[in-house]
Amino acid sequence: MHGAPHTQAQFADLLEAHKGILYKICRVYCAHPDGREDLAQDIVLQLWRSLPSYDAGRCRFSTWMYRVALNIAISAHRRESARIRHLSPDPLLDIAAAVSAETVEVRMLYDMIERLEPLNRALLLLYLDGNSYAEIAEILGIRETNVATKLNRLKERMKQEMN
Amino acid sequence: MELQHLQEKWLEQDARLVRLNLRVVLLADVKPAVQRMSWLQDANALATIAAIIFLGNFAFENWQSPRFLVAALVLDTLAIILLSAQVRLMVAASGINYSDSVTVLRRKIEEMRVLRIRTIRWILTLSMLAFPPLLVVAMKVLLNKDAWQVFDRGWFILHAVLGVAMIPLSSWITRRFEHRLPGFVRELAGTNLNAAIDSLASLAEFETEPSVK
Repeated sequence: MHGAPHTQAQFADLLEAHKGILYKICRVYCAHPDGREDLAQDIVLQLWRSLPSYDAGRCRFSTWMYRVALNIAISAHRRESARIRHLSPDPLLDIAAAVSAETVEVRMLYDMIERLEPLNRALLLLYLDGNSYAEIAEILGIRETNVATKLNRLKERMKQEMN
Repeated sequence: MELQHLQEKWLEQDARLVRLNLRVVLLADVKPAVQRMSWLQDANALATIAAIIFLGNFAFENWQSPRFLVAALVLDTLAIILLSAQVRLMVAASGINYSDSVTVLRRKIEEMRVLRIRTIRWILTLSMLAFPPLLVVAMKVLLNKDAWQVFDRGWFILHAVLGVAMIPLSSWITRRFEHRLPGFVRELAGTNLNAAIDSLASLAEFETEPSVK
C-alpha cells in the first residue's frame, strides 16, 4: 500500500470527495429505493476492508473505488447487506433526496442504463462519468479497443431509443 | 435530444451530489459476514477431518471384521472426497479480491459458484448411498450392536437399491417443482448451475472483442 489513507478519518475524506460515484452506482444497480442504502453500506464497508490493497502509485483513488464498488454492486451480496444494516440502522447516504432532485434528462439516462445488462451498465456509467477509454479498460479488465467498439454500439442503441 | 447534451446534463449532477449527506459509520466495529462465513467453512473442514480420523480409527479397530471395515472405509472415502471439495472451495474463496478488475472478479465468483453447486450436488447424491454403511458404523459405536445381525441382508440390499433409485427420482422431483423449492434444492436440480454456466458464457462474450462491421 503506497500513499493509501491510513485512518478512518482520511478514508472518510476520500469518500466524501468521491461520494458521487457511490451514489451513481447504487442508483444504477439497485432498482428498489430501500435496497440502495443497503448497497451503499455494503460498498463502503468493502472499500474500507480492501483499502490495504489500494496503491496510490498505480492508479487514482477513483479508479480503484469504481472497481471495488462495481464488483460489490454486480455481486449484490444481499444477505451480507442485511446484516450490516442491522448493525447500522441509520442511512449512510441520503440517496432518496438526491433521486428526487434529479433532472428529467438525468432520470432518462438512468432509465436507459437500468435496461442494460450489468456489465454494459458499468461501461456506460464509466463513459458518462467522463473516464478515458484506458481507465474504463482498466476498471473492467477488457481491452481499450473492445471498450471503444462496445461504446459505439451502446451509443447507437441509445440514439435509437431516444428517437 | 443528443447524447452529447445528455452527457453534459449527467456531469452537471456531480455539482448537486456534492451536497449529498454522507455519514460514515464506525467501520472498524463492523464484523464482516464474509469473515463469519470463513470461520464456518473452517469449522466444517475441521469437523470433516475429525470424522476422517474417527472413521480411520474405527476401521483400524475392526480390521478383522470385514462387515465393519468395509462400511467404515466407504464412509472414510466419502469424508476424504468431501474434505478435498471443502479445501478447493476455501482456496477459491481466498482468491476473491474486490480490487480486481470487474471481469476478473466476476469470473472467479462464477467459477466458485459452479464449484460450490457441483460439490453440493455430489454431497447430496453420495449421501443417499451412504445410509447403509452409516447405520452399520453408528449402531456399532453408539449401541455396540451389529446391524448385519439386527437387519437381514435383504434389508441392506433394499436400502442400497432405494439409495440408487433416489438419485434420479430426487432429480426429477426437484426439476418438476423447482419454483416451490428452497435455493439449495434448486442447486440439486441443476437450475442454479445452469444460471452460473450462463453467466460465465455472457462474461466471455463481454470480454470478446466484437467484430467491427
